[in-house]
Amino acid sequence: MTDPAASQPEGDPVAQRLAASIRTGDRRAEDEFVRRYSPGLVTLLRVRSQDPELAKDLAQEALRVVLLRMRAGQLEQPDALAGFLRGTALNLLANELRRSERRLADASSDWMDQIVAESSDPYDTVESDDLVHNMREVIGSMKVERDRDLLWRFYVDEDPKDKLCAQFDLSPEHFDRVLHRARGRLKELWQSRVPMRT
Amino acid sequence: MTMYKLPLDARLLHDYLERRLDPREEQALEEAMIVDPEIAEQVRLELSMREGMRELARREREKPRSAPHAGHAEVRHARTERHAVRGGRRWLAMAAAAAVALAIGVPTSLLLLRGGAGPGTIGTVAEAELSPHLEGDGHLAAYDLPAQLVALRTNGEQNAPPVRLTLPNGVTEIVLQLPPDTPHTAHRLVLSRPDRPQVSVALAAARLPDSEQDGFTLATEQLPPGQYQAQIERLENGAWVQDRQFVLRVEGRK
Repeated sequence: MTDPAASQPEGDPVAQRLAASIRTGDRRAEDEFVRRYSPGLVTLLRVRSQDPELAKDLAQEALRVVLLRMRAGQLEQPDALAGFLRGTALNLLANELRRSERRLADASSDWMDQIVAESSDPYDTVESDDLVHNMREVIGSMKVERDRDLLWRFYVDEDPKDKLCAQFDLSPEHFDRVLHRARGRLKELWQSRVPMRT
Repeated sequence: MTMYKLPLDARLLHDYLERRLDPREEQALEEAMIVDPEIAEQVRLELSMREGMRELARREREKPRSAPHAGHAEVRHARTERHAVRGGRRWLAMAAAAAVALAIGVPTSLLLLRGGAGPGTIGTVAEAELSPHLEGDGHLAAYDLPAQLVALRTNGEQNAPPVRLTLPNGVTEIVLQLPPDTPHTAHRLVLSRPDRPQVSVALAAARLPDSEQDGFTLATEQLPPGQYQAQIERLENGAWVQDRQFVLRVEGRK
C-alpha cells in the first residue's frame, strides 16, 4: 500500500481565498468553489451510496448548504473546508438512506416484485448497456491472450481461483501477480476508452 | 490534510472501494479526494471498471449458455448455472444502509444452532433450526447463521441443507449474524425463491455495533414466510465467490 506522505501543508490557501471571496459576494469564486469540490464529493457519495444519480443530487445539496454558510461568513475554519463538505455530504446521505429504509419498510407488498420493477428502469438499462458493451470490447481488445482469458474466467465467469490456478498452471501467489498485472493493463485500456463523467 | 502519491496504490483503492479502510484512513482519503480532482478521477476510474465487470458478469449469468465472448470460445467451460442478481446496485445501497441503520444498539448475541448435521458430515442432512435471541424490547431477533453446514457435500455436490427460522411474535427486524471466525472481507447474502430463481436480491453485510461480528439486517416485511435459497458470498480479488449456501425456511410468527 502506498503510505500517505508525512508532509502536512500549513493549510489550504485555496479554501481560505475562496472563503474570503465568497463572503464578499464574489460569484466567480462561487463558481470556482463548485467546480473545485464537486468531482470529489460526487465520487465519495457514489462509492458510499452505489447510486450515481443520488450521488449527484446529494453532492449538489451539500455544496449548496456549505455555500450558504460561506456567504454568511459562518465557515469558521476555511482550512477544514474539505472535512466540512465531507461531513455535510455524509449527513445528507445518512438522512436519505433512513428515508429509503422507511419507504422500504412501509411497502408491505412483495418486495421482490418491487426490486424487479426497480431493475427495469429504462435509464439504468441504457447506461448499463453502454458499460457492458465497453467492458466486453475492452477485454476483447487486450493483446495478451492469457490476460483476456484470465480476466474473463475470473471476473465474468466467476470461476474459482483454485480451478484457474490448476488450469493455468499457476501457484496462488503467481496467480495474484498475473491477475494484478492483467488488471493494470485492462485499466489502461479502460481509461482510454471510457470518458470519466462527474 | 494527508498527501497521497499519484497514481494511487492499487491496494489502497481496493480497500477503499471495499470499505475496508479504517475510519481515519477513509476520512483522510475522502478529504484528499474532495480537494484533489485527480485523486477523485482515479477512484472513479477504478469504480467504473469494477461496475463494468460486475455488470458484464451479471448479464452473462442471465444467459449462461449464450455465445461466449469473442476470443474466448477456446477457454470457456461448462459452468454451474447461477441465478441472476437483479436490481443489485440500488438494492445493495439500501440494504447496506438498512444494515447500518437497523443494527444500532444491537449487542453481540451468543446463539446456538440446534439440531442439524455436525461438522464434516457427509450425506444425510437434517433440518436445523435457528434460535432467535431477542433484543430491543423484543422487536429485533438475532440469529447466528450456520457455519457448520458449509462443508456438507454429497457425491461431490454442494448440498443445500434446510435451515428453519421462525419469527417470534412482535419482531419487526431480523439480524442474521455471520460466524465470529468469518474472514475480514466484504460479504453479501443472496436470497431467491425456488419458484422464481431468476430473481434474487443481495444484502451487504455490515459490522454490528458493539460487536466483532458482521451481519445482515432486514425488516420482517422483507422476509415473508416461505422458502428461500440462501447463498453467502465473499469478495475475493474484486469478484463475488460463493462461501456457503442453504435453504432458508421462514415460518410465521409464534
